[in-house]
Amino acid sequence: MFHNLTINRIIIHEVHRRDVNRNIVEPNYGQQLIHLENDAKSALQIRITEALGESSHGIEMQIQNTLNNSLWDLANQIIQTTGNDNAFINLSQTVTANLAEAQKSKGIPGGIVVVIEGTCGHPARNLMCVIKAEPHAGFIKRQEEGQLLLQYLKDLILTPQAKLYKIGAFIQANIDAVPSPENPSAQWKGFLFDDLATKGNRQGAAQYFYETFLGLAFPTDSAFQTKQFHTLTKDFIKRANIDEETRSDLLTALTTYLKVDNTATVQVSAFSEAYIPTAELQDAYRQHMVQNSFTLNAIHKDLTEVASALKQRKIVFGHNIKLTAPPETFEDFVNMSVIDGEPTADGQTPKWTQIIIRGRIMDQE
Amino acid sequence: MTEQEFLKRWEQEKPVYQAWADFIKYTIEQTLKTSIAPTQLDYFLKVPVKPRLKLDSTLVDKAFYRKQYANPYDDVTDKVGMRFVVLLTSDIKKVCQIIEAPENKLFWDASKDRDYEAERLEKPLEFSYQSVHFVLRATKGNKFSGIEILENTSCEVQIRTLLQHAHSELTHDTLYKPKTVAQPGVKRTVAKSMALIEATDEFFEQAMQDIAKAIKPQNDILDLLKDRYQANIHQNVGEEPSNQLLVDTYFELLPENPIADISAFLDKVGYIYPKIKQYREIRHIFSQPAILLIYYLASHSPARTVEMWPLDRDDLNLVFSDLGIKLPD
Repeated sequence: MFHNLTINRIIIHEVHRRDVNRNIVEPNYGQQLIHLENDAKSALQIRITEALGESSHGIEMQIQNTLNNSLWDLANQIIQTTGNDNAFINLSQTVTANLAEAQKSKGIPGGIVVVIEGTCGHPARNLMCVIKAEPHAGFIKRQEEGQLLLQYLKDLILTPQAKLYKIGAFIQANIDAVPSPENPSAQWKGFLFDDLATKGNRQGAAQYFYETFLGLAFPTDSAFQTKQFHTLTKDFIKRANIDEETRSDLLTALTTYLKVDNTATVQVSAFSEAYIPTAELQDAYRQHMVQNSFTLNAIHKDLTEVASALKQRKIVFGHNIKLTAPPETFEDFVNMSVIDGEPTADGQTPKWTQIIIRGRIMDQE
Repeated sequence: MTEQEFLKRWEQEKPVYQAWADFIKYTIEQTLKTSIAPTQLDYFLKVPVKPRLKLDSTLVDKAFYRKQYANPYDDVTDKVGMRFVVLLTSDIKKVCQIIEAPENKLFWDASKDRDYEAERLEKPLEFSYQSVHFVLRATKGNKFSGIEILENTSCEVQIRTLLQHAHSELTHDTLYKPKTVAQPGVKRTVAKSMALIEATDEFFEQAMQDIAKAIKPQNDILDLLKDRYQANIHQNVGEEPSNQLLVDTYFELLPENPIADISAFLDKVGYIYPKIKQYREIRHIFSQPAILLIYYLASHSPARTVEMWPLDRDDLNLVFSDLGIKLPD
C-alpha cells in the first residue's frame, strides 16, 4: 500500500502538555510549508514506509469517526487543496488543534505534529499522513578548526532509532467505491503506527492517539485474523523442510509468541525475525503467508478464537505414543533430541527420540 | 643507388612516412574502438601503439649490408612500423580483419608478409618467432595532417599476443636474425619457451571461451537490466564492476526463468524509474542497471536480500522504501 510514496507538501506545528489544571496550552502553529531537499525527503519517506509499509508494525484500522472535522474528514479536505497552500495550512492547524484536544491527560507529552499531503501506490492514490514526534535529546559531532566536537541537542525528532513517534495515515485507496451516508469513508483506508502497540505494553497503543484523535478503531476481525495467523504459521512449520528439533522449537516459539509475549500485535516478520533461524526459511515463510493472502502488516492480537489451540503443546510419536504439556513449561522442562536407534536386521539405522523431562513422575494410569 | 642518395631521399621523405604511419594508426584505432566496445581501446591494446621510423644507421645497415636488394629503397618495407599487442589470438584476428577490410582498400594495399598460422603449418616441428606482419602500401591520393602521402609508401604493421611479444622482446636482435650465432642449448631453451607460449595462448583462448559460456546466464540478465534502464531511466548506463558483483551475489536467488520473471516484475513497478532517476545523481549504485534487480529481489526474497547485501545499507533502505516495504531488522 505504501509503495511509490511521494511527499508533496509538509508542514509542522507543535502541541504542548496540558497545564497543571489540565487546560489546553495553545499549540504553536506553523505558518508556512516546509521545504526539504531530496535526501531529507527520502529520509522522511523511509520513516513512513518503515512504520507503515509492508512487513512493518503498522496496523490497518477501521475508520470509525467520520463526523465533520474528524481526522478522516480533514484528510478528505486536505487532499483536495492541491494548488491552495493556505487551505492546506489552515486544515493542518485544525488537525493540530484536534490533537491538543485529544491529549486530555497531563501525562501525555507534547510534540511536533508533522502533516503530510502526498500520494502512494501505483496508480498513485491520495494520502494524508500525520506524525506526532516527541523530541528527545542526543548529540551530533561537529568539526571546528580541525577539532572534533560534540554538540548536545535537546530537540531531536524522527531519528531512526528512537521510535518516539506515532503515525496516522489516511489513503483514498478504493476510488471506485461509492460512499454512502452509512459509510462515507468507503473509499478510504486508515493506518496506525504506534510503537507502544508493539512493545511489551499491556495497554497497547495509546488510545488518545488512535481513537480520540484519529477516530480509528481496531478491526473487528482481529480474533479471526489472529487465529488465521496461528493456523497458517503452524501449517508452514509442520510442512517445512527442517529437522525435527527445529520444527519442535518453532512450534514452541509460535505458542510463546502468541501467548507469552506481551506485544499487542501479531505480525509475520516480527515472528519470523525473532524465531525463524535462516533468511532462506524466513523468505519461504513470508511467501507462504502471502500465498495464503495473509497480511504482512501487523494485526491487533486477539486470542479469543485461538486460546484453546494454545492450551496444550502436543507431540505424537509412532505406536500412538503422545506427549502433552502446557506450552509455558514445555520450553523449560522438556528437552527432545533425535538420536540414532539400534540398527535393524536389514542394516538400517532408525531415528529415535530422546526425551528429557525435568521432573519426576507424579501420577500414572 | 648509393648510401648517400639513399639517405638523402630518406631524409626528404621521413615526414611522409611519419604521416602515413600516423594515418594507419588513427584509422585502425578508430575502427577498433567501435568493434570492441564496450571494451576500452587502452585495455584491448596491451602496449600503446607508437609508429617508429627506423634509425638512419639501422636502415643503411639493413639495405646495404645485411640484405641484398635489387631496389634497396623500395625493398626495405619496414622503414616505418608499428605494433599492435593484444591479449588473445582471437584478438589478433580482430585487428587483421580491419586491415583487410574492403573499405580500407581505398587507402592501402595490404600484403601479409608473415602469418604465424601459415608458418606453423609449413614447419610443424619448429617453435620460433610468431607474429603477424602486414605491409601496407598507400594508394594514390591519401593526405594526412596536411601531408600528401606518396603512392606506394610502405609501412609495416605487426600484430601479436602479449606472450608472443614477450618472446620477441627476449630474442630481439639475438636469435631470430638468421646469422646470429647461438648455442644450441640456448636455441633449445628459446624454442621450448615458444612452445610453451603457443600452448598457453591456446589455454588463454579456451579459458576465455569457458568464462564467457559460464557467465552467459548472468550477462543475459545484465543485458535485460541495461535495456530497461536505458529505455526508462537514462541513456548513460553505468557499467562498473558493481553490476557484476550484485548479479553474482544474488544469482542463486533467481528463479528458474529469471528473464521472464524480472521483466514481468519491472512491467508492474514502472513507478520506480523516476525515483531511480532522482537518486542516480547522488548515489552511485542507482546509476548501475543492476539496481533494478535489487528491487525485484527486495520484493521477492527480502530477508535474504538484506542478509547478502554487499554494499551500503542506506541504498538498500531506499529500495525497500520505494516498494513500501519495511527493511527487515
